[in-house]
Amino acid sequence: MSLAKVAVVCGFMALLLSACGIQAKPEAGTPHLRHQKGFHGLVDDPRLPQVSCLKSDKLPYREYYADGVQHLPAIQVGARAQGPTMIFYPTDGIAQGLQIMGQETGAEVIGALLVYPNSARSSELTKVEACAAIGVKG
Amino acid sequence: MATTTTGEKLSIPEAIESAFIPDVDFPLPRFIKELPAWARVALILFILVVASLVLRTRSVGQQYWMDEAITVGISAHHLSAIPGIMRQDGSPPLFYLLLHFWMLMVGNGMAATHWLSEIFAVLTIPVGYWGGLRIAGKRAGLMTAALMASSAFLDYYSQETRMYALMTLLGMFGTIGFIRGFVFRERRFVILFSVSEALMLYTHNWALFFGAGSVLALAVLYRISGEEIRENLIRDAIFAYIGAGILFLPWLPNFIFQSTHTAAPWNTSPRFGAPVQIAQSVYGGATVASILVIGMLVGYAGFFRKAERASPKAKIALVLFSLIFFTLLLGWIASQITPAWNPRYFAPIVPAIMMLTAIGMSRAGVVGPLCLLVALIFLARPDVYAPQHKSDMQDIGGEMGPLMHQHDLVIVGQPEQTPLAYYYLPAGLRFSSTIGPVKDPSFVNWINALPRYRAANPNKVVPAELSKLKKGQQVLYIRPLTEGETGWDAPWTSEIRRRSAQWGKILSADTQLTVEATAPHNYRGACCVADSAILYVKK
Repeated sequence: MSLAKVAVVCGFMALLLSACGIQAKPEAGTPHLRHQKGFHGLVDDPRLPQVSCLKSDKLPYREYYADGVQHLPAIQVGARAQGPTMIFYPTDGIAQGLQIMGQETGAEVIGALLVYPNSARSSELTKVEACAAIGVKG
Repeated sequence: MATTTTGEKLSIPEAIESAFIPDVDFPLPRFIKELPAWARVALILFILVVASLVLRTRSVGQQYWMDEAITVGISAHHLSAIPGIMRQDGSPPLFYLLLHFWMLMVGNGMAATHWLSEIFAVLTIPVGYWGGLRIAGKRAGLMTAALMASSAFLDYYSQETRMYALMTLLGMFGTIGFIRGFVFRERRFVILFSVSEALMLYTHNWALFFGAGSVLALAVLYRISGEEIRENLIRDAIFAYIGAGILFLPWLPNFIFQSTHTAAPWNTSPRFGAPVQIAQSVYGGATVASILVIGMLVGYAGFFRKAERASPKAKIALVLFSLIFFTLLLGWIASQITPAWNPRYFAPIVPAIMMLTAIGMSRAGVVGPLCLLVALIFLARPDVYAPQHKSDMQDIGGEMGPLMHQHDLVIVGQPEQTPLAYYYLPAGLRFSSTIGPVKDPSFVNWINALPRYRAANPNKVVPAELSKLKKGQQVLYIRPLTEGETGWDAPWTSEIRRRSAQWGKILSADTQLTVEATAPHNYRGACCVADSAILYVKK
């Protein structure tokens, strides 16, 4: 066997023996779990495209979670109760269902979002609606 | 190594090519025409490999679904423990052992493990070329390579940590060995067939149907052939199958145990939709299938003339067709007794289907390449054939993981999703499924699973589990979304849908439990099975 082949085989053996591939999982309760190596969970935050859109439109916004057990991801554009509010539901169907059942009459349904216009200016609302519509099919 | 060919000179691919394929001179740029033949082929194969990687790596890092998590969970065990665990799982061990070594080198992340399948899928391109070349000449080889590079089946399974891409590669070797070994009567290819069949038996149980289908295809070959092929055919075949059997002997006791104790209770018996399933999962949809089949049939049209019916090329086509047909037929019949039918199990015959198609198209003059080109345009759409969202457990893990503490309890409504939850949640948690406590959540014990599941009365199991919880401890209940009808009508899955609701009712009615959180907050849909999760705390 040539020297090069021996070197390749040794390299692979070293990799195998070092078992450097598999990271141990962090224990439950570890602080900052999501940033630990070996933890495969990942929050699929639905707000990312909208945040990026609002940023490019230079609109002031704040990300937060709506109160309650549901802990719904939300974005407040501008000042609370004045600027538009976006609340993200898990599916389009839930958002649509809330409107059909008359539970959220003060909101526009855009995909899985309920957008509350509040007392926003028309130009601002147009931009927010365009951002809310990102990724919405149909 | 003697070949027994005495009549037609089938062993020289160039001779076949000249007789087999009507000449079509394609207008190519001069610099390409000036390249040596081997360099042109190498260039085309390189382009095909790169194109297939572009198509097949867009979702390479995406999350697992339950089957993949079970595979990774089993393969993460110590090497010596894997065969024992496989007895409870029901699959053969080869892919799991390969994945074990692969993970030691590159890790158990999603992209890392998907790449193993990616490599097997890429290898089908040059091997497909070689097979097509050896069976029907260069054009058939290049067309086989192109079909393997754009195969919708491999688009899907090259990004899945399961054995199907490996099975396709082995099926390719098996098919080449079968045709060259028995139709061309080259004994070294009989050995290739025998070894491939043994490796397939170690990879997936559908190798049994492939093996049995090949026996029936041999019978067809025997029936239509003259002495030049019949001579020693039966002897060579017996050696091939005995050889494969001997190689499989070490696993045979485990196989018998698995066959008698584990089953696929989530599956239902197939009806008559196999052609539709092949069109969808192997060819990539009705449009692509129609285009390719038209190109193929134009090529084979000559075989309907009496003069060509007994030609060697007609024999190759008929034997390939028989191999595909009998493998599917046997799988279909067996699945009427014990369901084992799923388009992903077609992996061993995908190469034969592609090769049969490519050989036909290579005979179709200008129609063949045109059909191939149009089909490639339809197939060259990333994300169409690979699911964008297999599950939502990664998100559930991401949302719930940081809220959980050591020794909290995780209850999984669908037992086979336990390894998926285990993969995405942190360490130090206790696991239970709707069957009862789970000692090792990294795999599923399928031994007599259905009777055990039916025997697990929720009114007894749930209180026993909850009584072990101390005040302040949490319980995460993960249950499948069962909104669709297909997939939830098998004996196992219909039981899961019902049990998950029964467990949900008992947990929600428990006055000692308070809801703390729910997930997911962003559900994008899932190709396979998705879940919802509720986190309770004991007051």
